[in-house]
Amino acid sequence: MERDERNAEGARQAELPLTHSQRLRVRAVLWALLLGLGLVCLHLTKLQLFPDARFTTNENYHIGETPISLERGRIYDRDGRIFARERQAPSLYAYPPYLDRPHDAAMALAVRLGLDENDLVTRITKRTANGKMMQEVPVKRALSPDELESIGDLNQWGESGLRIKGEPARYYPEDQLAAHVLGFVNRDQEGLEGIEALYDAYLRAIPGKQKSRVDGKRKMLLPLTLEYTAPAGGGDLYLTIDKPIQHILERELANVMELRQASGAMGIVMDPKTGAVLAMATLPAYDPNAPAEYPKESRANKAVSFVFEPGSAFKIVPLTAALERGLVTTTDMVNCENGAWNAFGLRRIRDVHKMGTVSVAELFAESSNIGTIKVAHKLVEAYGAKELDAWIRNFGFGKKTGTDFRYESAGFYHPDGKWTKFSEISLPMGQEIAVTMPQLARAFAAIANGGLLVEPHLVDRIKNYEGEIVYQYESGEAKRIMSEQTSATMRELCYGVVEHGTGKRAAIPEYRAGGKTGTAQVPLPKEIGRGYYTDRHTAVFAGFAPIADPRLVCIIVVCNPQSEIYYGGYVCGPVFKAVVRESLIRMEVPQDPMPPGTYEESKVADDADVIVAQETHEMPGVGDDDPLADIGEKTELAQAGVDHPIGDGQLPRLIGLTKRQVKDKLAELQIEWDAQGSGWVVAQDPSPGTPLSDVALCRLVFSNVRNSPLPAPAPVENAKISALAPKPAKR
Amino acid sequence: MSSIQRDLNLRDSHIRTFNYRNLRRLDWFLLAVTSALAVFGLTALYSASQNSGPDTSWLEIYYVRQGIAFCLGLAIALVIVCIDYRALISLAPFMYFVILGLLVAVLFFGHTAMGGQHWLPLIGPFNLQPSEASKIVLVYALAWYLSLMRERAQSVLYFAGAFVIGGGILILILAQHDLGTALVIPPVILVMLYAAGCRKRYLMIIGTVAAIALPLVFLNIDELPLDNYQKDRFRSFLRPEADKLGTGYQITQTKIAVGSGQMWGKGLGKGTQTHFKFLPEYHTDFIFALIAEEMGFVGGTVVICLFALFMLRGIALARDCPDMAGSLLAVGCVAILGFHVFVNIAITLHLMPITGIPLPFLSYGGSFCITTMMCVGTLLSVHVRKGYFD
Repeated sequence: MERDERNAEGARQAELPLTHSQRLRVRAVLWALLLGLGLVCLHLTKLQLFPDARFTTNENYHIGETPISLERGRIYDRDGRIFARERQAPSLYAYPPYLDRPHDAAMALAVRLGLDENDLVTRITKRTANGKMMQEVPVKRALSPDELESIGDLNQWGESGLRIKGEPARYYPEDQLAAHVLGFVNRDQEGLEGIEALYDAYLRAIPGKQKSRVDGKRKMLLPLTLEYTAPAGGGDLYLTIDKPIQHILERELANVMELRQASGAMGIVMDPKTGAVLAMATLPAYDPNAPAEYPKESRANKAVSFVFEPGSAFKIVPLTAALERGLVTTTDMVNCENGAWNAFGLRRIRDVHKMGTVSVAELFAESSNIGTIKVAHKLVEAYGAKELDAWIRNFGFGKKTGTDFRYESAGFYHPDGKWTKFSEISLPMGQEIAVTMPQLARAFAAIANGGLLVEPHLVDRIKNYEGEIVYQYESGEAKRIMSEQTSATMRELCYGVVEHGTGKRAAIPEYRAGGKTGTAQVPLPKEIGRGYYTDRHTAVFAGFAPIADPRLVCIIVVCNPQSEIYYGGYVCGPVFKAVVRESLIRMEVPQDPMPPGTYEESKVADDADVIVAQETHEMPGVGDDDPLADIGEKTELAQAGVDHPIGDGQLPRLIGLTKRQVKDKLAELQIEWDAQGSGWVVAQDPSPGTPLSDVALCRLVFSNVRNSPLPAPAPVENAKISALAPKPAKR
Repeated sequence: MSSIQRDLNLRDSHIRTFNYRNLRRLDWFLLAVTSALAVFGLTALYSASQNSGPDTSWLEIYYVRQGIAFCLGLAIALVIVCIDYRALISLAPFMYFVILGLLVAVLFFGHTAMGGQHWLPLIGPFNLQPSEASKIVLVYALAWYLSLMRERAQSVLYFAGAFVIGGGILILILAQHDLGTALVIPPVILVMLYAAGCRKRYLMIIGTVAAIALPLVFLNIDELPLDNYQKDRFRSFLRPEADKLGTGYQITQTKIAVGSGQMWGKGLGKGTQTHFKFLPEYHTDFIFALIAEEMGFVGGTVVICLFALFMLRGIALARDCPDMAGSLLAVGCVAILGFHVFVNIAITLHLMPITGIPLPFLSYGGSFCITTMMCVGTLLSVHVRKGYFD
């Protein structure tokens, strides 16, 4: 009851309004709450109107930057065949914090990968200033598959202790092919040699970057890109090189190097009309994928840096000049003094091939020094020495030919035009001057293309990574150095060289080729003194084909051939023939065959001691059917012919005899003979069995190797088999 | 029908327990402030909804759900207006035990969200958060208790009794690791005790104990029986720069959001902090940061002012209420909402450690919205009764 009352009293009390003090308290509650809100509001004012600079703008916090990577530009040949591209090379990285036993791991890796143990251990166990281990240590870049295998399990020293990462590396899928043209790059993808270096600005990829807002998960918000720097460079470069022709050239150069035991061989194949280099090779080569593994000498592009005395190949210059000036015609007769002449009382000049009075065409075909000097003298007489000097310069000798060749030499030619008293005699023979292959190629291209001096070049066009052409080779106005007429005449003269002169071994049955041989001695280095090495030669063949409308100029140079016969026509001619023939067929150039008869004759000349060659000669068309029949087969047949009884009144077989034996035997038969080289006879002309009455002169080739590997016996420079060549009087 | 009710009916026979005519006596000022805040809230959520994927069903979109919750809440509020609050107060003990039962049920059947068990599944995509409802129930229970025991306001038992009532709820809420809600309980008890006229001495003792305990809490976080994430929140409050991408992340990102808003804000839907997912919980506990970023200082201040107006009005209602129970109800409701507003904004502005308290009318969350609207309904109901005496 009392409780009920109390409750009722409580309820009545609850019904009553607040007392005055309670109202004050309620108001105090309000003030407290408003105070709180005021405080909050004040802080809001501070945060928003006078904010910490870090928070006003969140740009700094929420911006992501991604590099836009770009590959280094690729290098293609003229038709888009790949020469150089980028690939991901596996690189080994160590993560020391994850390695259980960093020291042991470093030691083991060093052994397996052939690295310096101390260096690797130091790098892996190194600690930063505050005692932390390195986060990531590159162990070795660009591992080979073998090295990759030798590492074994990447987790063997701890989970995630080692990792393989792909790193961009330059890759040359053709290995050594065109190595000197391409050059190579360093580890940072910077071009160091060749085209890689010269066109580095185009090829090198400068990564772009994209700055953009990121969201809370650091995801780039591409619509909110703040800054975009496009990547630059990385352009694809198209060479003028034709990969198949490059293949052919390098293959043939390698063959000749092996055959002649030469110290080096170089070649250039060029389009005479544009100067576009279709192939350029220097052997021995190197692999641009691993340039460091090759000696420095082999990395030099000798095709452009090597200078040599052009020798007889230079005779085009005085001949062109004299023809252009109208001082001589091809049919003018010049007395070649039977091969020995004291030129103006200054110097004794000899011709390998002794001739009497012959036409200008003939003296050029047979490469007569005496005749050429006389022709050049006419020019000097008429116009002064300056004229010849000007012609040499006109042809571009003494100057670099273009800009696409790194370390191209300018050759050597009296820089100020000051001649010695011998110059008038030496220069027409290609002495006292040193040239480069591009210079020679350009000079012959001028003859081939109708008299214009083109610029040899390697790069045709460059496309940027978006496919726009950013560089296109444009030839300037080509300088005319001779008239069309003169160049046509010179082409005929050059054809003569190949058809029946010193360049017979360069003859191509399907295409009439023209050219000029050259053989130079190698000058002694200055330290040793004046003069020439007696045992070092540079064999040169420079030519073009087809004569009617030359499509290719090809220069072949072989350094120090070790064969007894080192003449340019002999050593380089077959290389020229193989390269140009195959290239022209590849290019589907219409045939321009040699007139019937001429090629067979040159073959006879080549296979002077081959009896069957005579028979072939009697069967018209055989040579045409099988112009490139394996010469070795015929050699075999020739050897089979040993058993043929050779009766009296016929030339005996001399192959295999020594010089002394030959001397005795031929003295008995009263036959004049001419020897090349030393050792045993490996080739003879005419062939055994020829009636003695028909033999005017017996030409013999000797070799130190009894069973000489020389496939074709006696295509000696200046060997005179052709009926066109006048024979010296029998003594 | 209890004797009290009979008594009440006798004294105000013209007032019925349920009278829809009460709706004519609505406090339009309070309703206007409420609507303004609701509009702000829906606008902010509309902006936040832009982050939803295209496949989100319309029922999953924040502002749609919140709009539904508002309508529901408003309906409940209007129902409350129609009911005489004294009838509700007399039901308070019953409601109190129901809510205790629900809180226990949550411990066994609840969903887990944000490290706590807060949710009871309802129909379809809607869930119930009993801890939210417990706040309003507590206010009613305390109003019932404090006004009933008004005579003994000076005694220690009066003081202690309030804490027993609040403590039951507090312990169960702490049991589900809902630190944010738990933190609201003691201040509400204290404010209502204070308004009811308890001895200041006891309040001062509590205040002194809290003042001593607080630094100790901050210094000895590691030993406290708290969840790790809660400890991390305390630590990062003290040193947010120490771990920018870890626990301090929320704080740093919130600061950037607020700081970058400046005077006029970045414009609705253009807040980079929220839309690019830097700001966590931008639609619930950190919605004020979204407002500050997108609507700037102006928007933020307007919101705070609206809250201030709301409180002014609420307290005015408490002061002018013809009976003590109604006054205490109004004070309690204002205290709950006011405390939420203060703590939430203080957290957003990095004045307090993160505890997980929503912002009334603005934060997304159906249960809390309905709780808020029940408070509004209670206040409106208090106003109705005042009207009869005007």
